[in-house]
Order: sequence, then C-alpha cells, then structure tokens
Amino acid sequence: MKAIDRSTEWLARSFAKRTSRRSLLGLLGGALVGQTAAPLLPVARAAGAPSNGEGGGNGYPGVTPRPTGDANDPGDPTSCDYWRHCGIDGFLCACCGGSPSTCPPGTEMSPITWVGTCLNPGDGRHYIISYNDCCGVNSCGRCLCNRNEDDKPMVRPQANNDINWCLGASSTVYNCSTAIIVGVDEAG
Amino acid sequence: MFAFAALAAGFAAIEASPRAATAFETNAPIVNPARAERNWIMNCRGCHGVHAEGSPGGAPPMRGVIDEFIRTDQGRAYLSRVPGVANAPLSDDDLSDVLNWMLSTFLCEAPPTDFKYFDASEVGALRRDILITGAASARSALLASTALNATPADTAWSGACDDADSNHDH
Repeated sequence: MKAIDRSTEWLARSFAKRTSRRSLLGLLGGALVGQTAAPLLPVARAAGAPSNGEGGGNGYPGVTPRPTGDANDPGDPTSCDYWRHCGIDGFLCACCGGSPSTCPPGTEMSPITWVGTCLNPGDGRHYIISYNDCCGVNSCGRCLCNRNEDDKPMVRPQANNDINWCLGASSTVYNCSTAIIVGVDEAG
Repeated sequence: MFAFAALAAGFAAIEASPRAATAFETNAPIVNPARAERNWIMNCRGCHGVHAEGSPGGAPPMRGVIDEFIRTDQGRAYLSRVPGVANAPLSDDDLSDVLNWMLSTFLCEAPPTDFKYFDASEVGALRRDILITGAASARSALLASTALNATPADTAWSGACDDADSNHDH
C-alpha cells in the first residue's frame, strides 16, 4: 500500500513541477467553450434544410432550393426534376452561379448546342429548349443531372446531349449546362 | 401564346426569331412557315446559329453563302445533299419547306427572277445522293468557283451580307 502511495505522490509531484494550475484551468476552459461553440461553425447545412418537395440541388450539399414561385414556370431550377431539364446531361447552371438561362460569371455560353422539347406542367404545352453549355472554367461539379428525353444517338449530333458543345466556344472546357426556352413547340 | 409571353418576360436569354431578316419580298412556296421554322430550330439552328452565321467548330455559315450556291445546279444540289439536310428526320415535304424557309429568311439578295424554289420531289431525289464524306470538299469546290473564293467563309463568318447588318438588325 505504501508503495502505491509513494508512486502516486511521485507522479502528482512530478506533474505539478512540470505544469501550472493556470494552464490546467485554461485547458479545461478551452475544452468547455470549444464543445459549446462547435455547432456554430459554418458547416454546409443547407442540404439538411427542410425540403419543399423539390429537393434543391438534388440534395447536393450547399445548394439551397430555389423554387420559381411561378405557376407558369413551376419547379426549382436547382433540381434535376425541373421541367426544363427533361433532356439535360450535365451540371445545372442554376447550382453554379448562373440560372437555367444564363451562364455563371466568368464563363462563356457555347454558340452551338442541341435542341429538344420539354412539357411544361404549368400550362401543359411543349416548349423548345436549347441546352447551351457554359465554357471556359473547370467543371462546376454541382447538381449533376442526366435526363435524356429527346436525346438521340451520336449519328444525329443536333439532338445528342453527350457532345461537349463547348467545342464551338473559345475554350472547350465545360462548366455547366443551361436550358433556354427558344419557342413553343406548336407546329410540331 | 400569353403563357409563352409571360415566360419570355422572365427569361432574358430567349433569342429573337430571325424571321423577316431578308430585305426583299419573297414568294417562296412554304406550305407551313411555322412548322418550317420549328424544324429549322430543332434540326439546324443549334449548329448553324440563330442567324445562320455558322460557328467555328460547329457548322459553316449559310448567310452570304447560299446566295451563291443557288446560282448553280451543283450548289443547289449541294444544299439538299449535305448530311445535315439529307439525314434530317423530316419528310421530303417538310425538308423542302425548311429549305425554302431558309432561303426566304437568310438570303442576302432576292434570288434570280427565274429561280425555282425547292419542291419535295427534287429534294427527295437529291437527299438520296447524300454527300456522306465529301461535304467539306464539295463546299470548298463550290466556294472556289464563286466570288466568295476571296473570303475565308469556310472557317469563319465573314460578315455575310455585303450591305452589312443594316438590313439584318436582329
């Protein structure tokens, strides 16, 4: 028993010689505050936000749902399920700093593209959609969406969504894809 | 159309239609102009551009070039034999309508008075003689035989119509 007492006393004294009470208190205080403040760190919790049923960015972390709120243009452009994306194959520009109709800043819209049609559930009509790619900046990497309505094999390049349409831009580096309305498909 | 107008108001990137681009009246026999324009958008415009100006890496320009092509039999045939036209998923009737719509929309000048627009039987025969591999060389040969020889029309849009774009403000 004495041996245990002695060794414990030796350990306590040697520890006390090497450390101060102040540093121990500081260590304990830091742990206490750190534990409390950890949930306040700016982690990406947008993906965990309550869904409105559309699922912004297909649940991609950091992409907040952005429903249009327009009955004639229903849905969320950051969602793969958005009606205009019925034939898209790529990263949605709405998740990359752009919109379904505009490229993100710093990118260039491809002058050539493929064209398809999508049914707008807001009015039950088919619209002609031009899927211009945005080019010149490395792949956005958010909200990958691959739907293939109207997509045709490569032998019909004007209706193929696997082509990198940035080949018509000054840079062939692909960033994201738009879905621009160019007309109503009433005469088809 | 109201719904489309409402959508258009919110989407700034919608391109204007090139309709009424020509500075002259045409009597092109287009059976269904709306359908012809739709078929142009769906099958041609993506590569040739909104105003048929062409694009490096895409498809060559039409404006400023087809004026010359329609003046010769070879050029006229070429317009129906290029793969994009001959292989288009359109009937002969629809295809001749698209070709005539293109002429009525993208020609810089009125065609010769004795010019005969396309019809389905002519287009149907020509498209069966498709230029599978020789389209580029055929185009170069046609351009070399015209006044366009001096312009690099095969590789870049040279400005198309000589009267600049004052008549093509779109």
